[in-house]
Amino acid sequence: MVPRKRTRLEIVEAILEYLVNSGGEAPATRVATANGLAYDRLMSLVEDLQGKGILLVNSVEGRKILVVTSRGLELLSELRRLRRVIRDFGLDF
Amino acid sequence: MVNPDKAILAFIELVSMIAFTIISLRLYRLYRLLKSINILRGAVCFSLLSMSQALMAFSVVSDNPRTAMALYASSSVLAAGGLYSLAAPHQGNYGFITVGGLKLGISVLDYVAGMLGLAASYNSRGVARIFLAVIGFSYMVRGASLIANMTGVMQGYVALLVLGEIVRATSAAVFSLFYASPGHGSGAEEED
Repeated sequence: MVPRKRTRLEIVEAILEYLVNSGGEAPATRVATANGLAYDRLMSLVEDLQGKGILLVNSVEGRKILVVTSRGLELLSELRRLRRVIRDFGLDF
Repeated sequence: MVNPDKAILAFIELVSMIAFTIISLRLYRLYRLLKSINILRGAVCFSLLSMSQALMAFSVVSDNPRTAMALYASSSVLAAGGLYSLAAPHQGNYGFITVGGLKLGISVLDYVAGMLGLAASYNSRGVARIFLAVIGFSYMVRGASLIANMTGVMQGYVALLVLGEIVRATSAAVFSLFYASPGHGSGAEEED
């Protein structure tokens, strides 16, 4: 069976979940690998999320470190609660 | 004093109203965080469904028939509006809140005309029964084409609309001419 394509919100939830499990921050390359995302795709999503105050991007010795904000934690908590509603009603962003 | 079966029905309506309200509040919170119109569609949908359930609950327990009827009708309109915000095509703008309501109102009137045409046909005889049924059905087709246009569920909605209009206009013309012609109108005595 072909696996179902993840929605953008599912990917965002997976990224936030990974960051929380990594202590709130992780290098972008590791986030991309762990979540099966192309680096470019991750960074375009990160740019969007950064604009909404969900994530911060810090540069440390040439590496991009993704940091989850308090707004990002709030979003993760809402996404966990609404996972089924979002998926079943096709409410992606 | 409210009937026990009415009270149970109203209670069930209120339970779903509370559940819909909780979902809509969570979706509004998500919208505040993400500023996504798609999420807003869901929030609007569940808000309207929640209000619809509330009106339905009041309609069930209302003792005044006029109030109950008004609440019942408003409940349906709110539910239709809510479901439309989900069914409308994803265009990434706020059109589903503005233009949609107008189209929805027009299509509802088409359905009302269609149902009344079919009801009048049921109570009629002879040729009038056929004409009224055709006119009623063509209004239903018109309403269906508008819904298809709003939701994007069917590509050929324009063809459907044109077909419905041709059938409606032709049958209305034939219908009126038939009964205006000598021997069928009020100007001539009908033989039994």
